[in-house]
Amino acid sequence: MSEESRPAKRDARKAEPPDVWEAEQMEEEPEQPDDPKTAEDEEEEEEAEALPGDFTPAGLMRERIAAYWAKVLRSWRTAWDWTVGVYIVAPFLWIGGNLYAEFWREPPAWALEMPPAVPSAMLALAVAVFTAGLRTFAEPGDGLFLRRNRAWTRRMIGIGMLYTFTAKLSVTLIFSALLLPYHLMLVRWPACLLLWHAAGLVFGGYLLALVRDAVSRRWSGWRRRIARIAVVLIWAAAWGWTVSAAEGSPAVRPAALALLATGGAALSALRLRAQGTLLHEVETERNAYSASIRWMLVDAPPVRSLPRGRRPLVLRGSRPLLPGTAAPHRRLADLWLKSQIRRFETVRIYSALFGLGLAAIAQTPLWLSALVWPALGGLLISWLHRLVVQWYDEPYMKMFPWSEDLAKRSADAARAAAGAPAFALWGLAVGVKAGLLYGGFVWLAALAAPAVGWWLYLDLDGWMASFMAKPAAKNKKAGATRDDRQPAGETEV
Amino acid sequence: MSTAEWTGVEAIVEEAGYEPGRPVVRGIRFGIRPGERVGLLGPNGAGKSTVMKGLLGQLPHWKGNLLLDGRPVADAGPGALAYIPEQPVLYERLTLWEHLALAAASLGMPDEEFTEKAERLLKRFRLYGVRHHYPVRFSKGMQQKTMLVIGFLLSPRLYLVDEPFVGLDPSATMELLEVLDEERARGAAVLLTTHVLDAAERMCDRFVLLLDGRVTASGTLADIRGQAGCGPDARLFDCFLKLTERAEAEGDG
Repeated sequence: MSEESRPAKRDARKAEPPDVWEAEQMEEEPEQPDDPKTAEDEEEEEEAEALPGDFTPAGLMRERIAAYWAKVLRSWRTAWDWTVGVYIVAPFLWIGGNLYAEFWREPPAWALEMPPAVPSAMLALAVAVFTAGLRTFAEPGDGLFLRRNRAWTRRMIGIGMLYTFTAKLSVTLIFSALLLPYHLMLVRWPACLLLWHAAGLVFGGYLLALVRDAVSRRWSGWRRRIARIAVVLIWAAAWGWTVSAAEGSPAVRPAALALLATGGAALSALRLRAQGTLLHEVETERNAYSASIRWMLVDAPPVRSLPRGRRPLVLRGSRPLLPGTAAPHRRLADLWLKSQIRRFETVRIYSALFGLGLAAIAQTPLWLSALVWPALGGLLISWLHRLVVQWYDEPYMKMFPWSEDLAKRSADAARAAAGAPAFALWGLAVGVKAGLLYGGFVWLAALAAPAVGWWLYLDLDGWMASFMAKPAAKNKKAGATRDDRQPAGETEV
Repeated sequence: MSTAEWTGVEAIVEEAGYEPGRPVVRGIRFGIRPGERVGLLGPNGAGKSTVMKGLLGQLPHWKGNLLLDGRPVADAGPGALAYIPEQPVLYERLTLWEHLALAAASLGMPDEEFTEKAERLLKRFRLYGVRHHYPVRFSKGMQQKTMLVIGFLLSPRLYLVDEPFVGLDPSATMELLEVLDEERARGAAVLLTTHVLDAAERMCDRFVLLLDGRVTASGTLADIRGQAGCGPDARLFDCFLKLTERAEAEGDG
């Protein structure tokens, strides 16, 4: 709209009947379930206070927290049986406990030289990573009635803040206890410093939860992700610096605690006044539940989150990644590969597998490295194949009729494109290891290993594919004939 | 896919249901000629979706057949049929363009043909500007348009379209009707279910009205008017109401 026309438009608006003017004003107001308090709300609140039984904000929150934990524990229970206890948990506790005790009995030199700021920063990082953001236990249905009552909403969010604080406290105590040998035996902190340290982590962790909550409401997509990571890193660095300063100057300790507590209280007050937060809270709750059960459902294809941005973060232009995509099987392999690269979980597992493979090759004798190499390849092929089979099991994939030949050829191409580079690099590592050990002409092995690795991978893949499950084998064909007989009483149109 | 000189579709539903021995739909048979559009209508729970799922081979308990050109659809080759579901079915980590590329790959469509058709359809349904976006992040209407574009990209002989108007804005509805007209000219047959009777009246040549899993009325609009006992100017909506009321009254009696 031009500058000249604006006053004219305003005048025209003023000249319009009042009901039209009011209607336009109402459109400009934000549509939020938790609107400012009105006289009706006040009445509602009074009525709500008078409701019988446990129907109060505290009672409702108690029920929701109990229901949440019951749901999480029920989910965990499905992954637990005696074999998990005997073969996974008990060995983990036994081996992990022994390694832990051994570590502190004879701490390595670097642990003795490490300044206390480093473990403190790591601890701050761990508390941030292993606890969710601000928990309010909001549910989508709250937008219908509950959020119209501001007093109830505030009280419930207040209880959620208390829960969040308690969660930070519990996790801080657990992590601080694990680090107690360091603080007591190596740096010999007095009890008051230990208490201050734990208190600072709890208050800081709580403040961080509120800051991350504000950041998540302010931004979306990649900006939100980067801001959230930046906030955590800044907090960890700031806490490390504070610990370092507090060791030299005791006056820093109460000042830091006061700053964190005041900041937490101020942000809590601001948060209680914030409006239009329901959708964000529901998303936080969904993420918290998903984080609680994700570890045991890594293999289940439906447990996935939607992409955060409207466009992919990587491979944004839909252009092919592989050569030769004019052939349908190459196009399919290309699409599968791109979809996997865009999935953080797959990239994380792939990187971990590749890194562990390199470490295994580096840490074992040469003859064993040469055996570990194909074994790693087998593991990689088996994992990639499972991903391909899962892909063909996707509802979108099931919409189309895949011929067995096309599905098999695309699966072969996909596994080759995804796995052969890693296998070739492992081969390079074996070759370099041999070159370093024996020198001279053996260095030729380093040069030849990637090419041999590529060929070996394709051979291994072909052999394994012959007995692995066929992709798309379960997909039904539309309109499959079950019975061709004309039944009695049919209606012909 | 070429639709030249084919005889059309024959749908036979002997029994269809979700539990053994408890069919929801039984004894239905209808045909769709090349270039013809048939509306499968009925109130909620009449069995429209069950018929669709049965024809698609998605029901656990189903006796029947879907014949294209006299042969079971499974033998008619890939791309003979396209299903456009009411609830969009999408993959999280593929862009809109990649969804189309994947659909085209299922038919072995050459690159040039795919690019030309995909660009034309995306521009037509005003999705070209978001072709590199994730469709799972689209609004419901845009997702519905995505499903339509995927269906039209495949150019099948038979379209099974479930509630195509849900979530579509008026201009997208117009585009859909125009594209369906073009598909009719190509010789494609369409079976669609809908609750939007005005649109069904405009776009369908014949109707199959289901009530309680059985065919209550069928034929052209004139036939339906006759079966419902309505006048020559009656709308499909009026006929539908009359037929359902009559059926309910008979049921109560």
